Amino acid sequence: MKRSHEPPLWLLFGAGGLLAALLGPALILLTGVVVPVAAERGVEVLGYEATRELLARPLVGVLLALSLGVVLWHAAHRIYHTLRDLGMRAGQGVWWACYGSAAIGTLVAIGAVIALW
Amino acid sequence: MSRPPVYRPSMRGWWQRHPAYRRYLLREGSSALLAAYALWLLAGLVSLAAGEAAYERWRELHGNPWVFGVHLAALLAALYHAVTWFRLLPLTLPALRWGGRRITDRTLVRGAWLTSVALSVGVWLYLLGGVR
Repeated sequence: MKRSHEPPLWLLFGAGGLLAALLGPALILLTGVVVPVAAERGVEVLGYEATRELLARPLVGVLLALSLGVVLWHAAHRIYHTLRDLGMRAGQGVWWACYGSAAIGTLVAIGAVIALW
Repeated sequence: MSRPPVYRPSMRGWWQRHPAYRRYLLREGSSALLAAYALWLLAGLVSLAAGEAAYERWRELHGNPWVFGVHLAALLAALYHAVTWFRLLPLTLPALRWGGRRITDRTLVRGAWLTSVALSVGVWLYLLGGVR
């Protein structure tokens, strides 16, 4: 039987799904809702200096980059399989577009975090 | 989830045949908004590395009505994702025991929500504490 590359992909999918479920709503509420509403009232939330100082801490930065990576991986997995479920003849090209862009996104996040050091 | 190995023409329009199929599509589709949010944070991270001017421009964009609306949609998608993910959690784990007694599915799901709330409060305090 041909070896499948599904198990490691599924682990990343599961990690991303769990993380998005545990922290997704709170993070979106903070950066997407609290930041603009506070800005309207003249309060600065997640300002440049403070955020930079925070994310320049190696542990925080690496955790953020890896978190973004697994959530992108989670979405790539679901989008790829849903396209197939919808009847699209998704071959190698679509596979690479989904998982490849997740991998590139992860690398960009790691690069940006390292640039903060 | 097991899938038929090939998509047959008779399967066309399968999502119209049962509400559960539509909920399944909605659940899978919520991942597109999660990905959009992750990419948005990635753009913020890159602009933070690029300097103050770029980062402030990214932060100001949050006040745009369209950006705000997509964030609200992403918030709903993330909540739906959490509800469905935690509901399926017991099926993905082996039977857990604690002190000789089996942990019920109900307890497990409640524990997941409690963990989510605790982690969320912790992350909020950490991120906002770093601001002031």
